[in-house]
Amino acid sequence: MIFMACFWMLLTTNAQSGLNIEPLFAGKIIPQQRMVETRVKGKMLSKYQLTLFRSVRFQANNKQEITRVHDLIELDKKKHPNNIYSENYSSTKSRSKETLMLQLSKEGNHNRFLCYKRNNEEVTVIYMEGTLNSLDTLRELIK
Amino acid sequence: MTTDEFKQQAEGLRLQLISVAQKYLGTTDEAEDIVQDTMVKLWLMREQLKSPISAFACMVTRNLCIDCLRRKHPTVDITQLSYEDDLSDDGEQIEQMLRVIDTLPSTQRTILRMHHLQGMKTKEIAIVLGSTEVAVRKTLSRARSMVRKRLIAIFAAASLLIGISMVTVHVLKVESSDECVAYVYGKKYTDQQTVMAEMKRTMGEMTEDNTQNEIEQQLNDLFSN
Repeated sequence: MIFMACFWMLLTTNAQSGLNIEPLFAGKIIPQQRMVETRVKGKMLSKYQLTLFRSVRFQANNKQEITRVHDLIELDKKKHPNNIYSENYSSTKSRSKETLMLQLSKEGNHNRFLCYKRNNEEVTVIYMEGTLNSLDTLRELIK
Repeated sequence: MTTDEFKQQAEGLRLQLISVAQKYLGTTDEAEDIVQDTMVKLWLMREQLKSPISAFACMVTRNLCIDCLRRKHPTVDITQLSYEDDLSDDGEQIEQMLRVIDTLPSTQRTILRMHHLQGMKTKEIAIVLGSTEVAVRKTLSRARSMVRKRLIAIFAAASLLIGISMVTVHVLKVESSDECVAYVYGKKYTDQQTVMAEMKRTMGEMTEDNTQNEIEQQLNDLFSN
């Protein structure tokens, strides 16, 4: 039974597991009732050269929530210092608007992206996976 | 052996043979019938017999008793079983059990088969094998315990294998399956249009050209300090 449980856990780990921001997607930082969460996987994303799309959007109630998410993003940024795509981001959290786009290390044949945006109290975090080469391509595809 | 010699020995032999047959069959008419059959056999082969014939007569009686006991507990030839039976779960379990029994040490295997497949009682088995009933019971108990342990091991391994296969299939299914869901402040939406619209909106917001916003931002930062 223990072996089965371990096997199950091993096989059901989330794609974005290993990231510091993972608890946000798991609803452990902001309750689900306060978030707009999107989870899309499979053929519907082929148009965007993606296989997985996960996003979380919420209105922060206080500075602590912003700080917590910011710190987690900061940790993931430090893990991938050479893969920053675009940055209008301050590590001092003084700005009211911030964006950060990271290309994470590949998992198998899939490229992985982590995007963070804050507009005052509104925070959006996106995790994407797929054959997409760059966020510039995605920008073109969305048009 | 002459006819007279046979007649002389047969008279004294009868009671001895009855007691042998009764050991196997109890005090029944069958014991008498078996002795009768023995005497007939001996009579027919009297010319080849050499005196004394008591040991040989006892052996013939014993063999006839065993044949009689076997006839009382008929067994079915496994090849005669219908195809339908073979496919049933019970059939598979029995076959599995027979395979396990075949791996037992010879004494345990023999006793187990005699008791459970031929339906012989421990007392009868003890007589046939020239052993005691207690020894037969002990061997039978050990054999059952060994079969049980081996079957449990086989079933546990099979269950584990099935479990792993099911989990793998499930995970592969989950991995390869499409998913389209949005939770808007705790409310679940699964219709593709709504979810994709939300996704596109979020994606668009994130990737939109922020040059103008950036300038405004920098100006705000500059004048707010």
